[in-house]
Amino acid sequence: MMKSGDHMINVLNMSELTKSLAEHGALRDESGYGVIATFQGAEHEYHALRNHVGLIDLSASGLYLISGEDFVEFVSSLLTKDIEFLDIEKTVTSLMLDEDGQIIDMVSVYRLEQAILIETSAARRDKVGAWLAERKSDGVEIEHWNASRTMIGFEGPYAWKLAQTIVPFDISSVPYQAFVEIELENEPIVFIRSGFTGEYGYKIIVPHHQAMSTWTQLKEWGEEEGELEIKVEPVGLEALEIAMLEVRQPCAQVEGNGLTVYEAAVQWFVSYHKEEYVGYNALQQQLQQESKQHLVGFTAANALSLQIGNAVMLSSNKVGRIVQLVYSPTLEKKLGLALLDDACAVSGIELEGINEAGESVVLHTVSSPYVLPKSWSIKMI
Amino acid sequence: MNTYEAGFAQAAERMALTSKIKEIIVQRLDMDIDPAFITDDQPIFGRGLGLDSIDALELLVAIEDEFGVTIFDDNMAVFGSVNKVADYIVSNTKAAS
Repeated sequence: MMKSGDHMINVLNMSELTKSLAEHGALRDESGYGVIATFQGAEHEYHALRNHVGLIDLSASGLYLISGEDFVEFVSSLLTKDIEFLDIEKTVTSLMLDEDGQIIDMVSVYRLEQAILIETSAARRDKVGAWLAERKSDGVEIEHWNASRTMIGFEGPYAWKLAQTIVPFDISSVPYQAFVEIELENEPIVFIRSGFTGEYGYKIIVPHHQAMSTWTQLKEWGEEEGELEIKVEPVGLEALEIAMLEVRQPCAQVEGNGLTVYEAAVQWFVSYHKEEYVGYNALQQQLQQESKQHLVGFTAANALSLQIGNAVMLSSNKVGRIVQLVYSPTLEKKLGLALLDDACAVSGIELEGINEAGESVVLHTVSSPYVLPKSWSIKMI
Repeated sequence: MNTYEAGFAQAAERMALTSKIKEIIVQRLDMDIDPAFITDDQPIFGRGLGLDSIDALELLVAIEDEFGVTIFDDNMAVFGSVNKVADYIVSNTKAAS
């Protein structure tokens, strides 16, 4: 990660919105796409997500619209989730696997009347685009929506209040994992209820020329809730990743980074009875293997430095390694994921992390969600 | 710090509990999947296992029947994951003994 400057802005592929915002933040290179890592510091932004509303530039996420007479069959053949009965204006999250059963990306799939929209992670956007092009049949058309549209997200315990300023109907009528096509300032937009952090979460897809004015409009919103003055703060990827891990929301750059579906413990993005998709046979072989490992969450109160890749031990025997590590401001501890041998990959036990200096750090495996989102105790009015 | 054997024994005990919870979920809610396909940390509701509030009430009764532990219906955080259910059973079984 580096502070934004002309060099980064010129080298990385970015939307006009990100280019504007990059002057106020630090950029991260996500496979050639520039994403704002932080604006004012991850901890400050994290508190906005967990207590107010965090505004997120999602313009680097890939958006591919699949249409044509075979669009459902084509998309279905590439997804681990069954979408045959996915209703119009509903969304689902699925894995996209290659023929070896390796995770290409975790994608959101939006069912429109005559098309399906696929949203990718920023880091896997080109990989998914290439995969779609490679597998494409004659009865399918692919439109890269990023050429004309920008996605913006906002999440937090009061995000629904901000969402209410956009939609012309009662916000509580939009269920989780649903979306609608509406107009905002006489422009067609897609309004989605779906989030990453366990808080109320929404995304909107707007025409490029409307992106900056929409961002500014959303950012300037505020309201008093009793003694609390609800604010909207721009949030970068670092804070988002902390909040995602706290509710064990998978992230393509962690769970999809060379781990199998079983190791990443993301079988819940696979429809149990679905058999017709790329990677199915390889996935079945993975699941039948003995001697396996999978991810488990852990906390570490000790301040000694741990790093990704450090060994995890049980009574001097190596049982795994650390694959993700953040500081959780709510827990006031390090929070991470370790890839552990199945025989000890459970919550509620004590292990050791061994850092580069050979020092031992006590790790406690823990149960997800590691932090209870405030939104779980707030009802929309 | 755990000894090697004690650590594995503790893990095995925990796995037995989470496996039993998964079996109960599948049986009581008449789900047509292998219980082992459910992961310990996935959300039970919404996009996790796709259960709803009616299923939650069925699970409250099932947990009480099987483990003698009462979960109140205003404490839905317990159903954050199979692991959270297991934590609740362990802590409330200990508290009662």
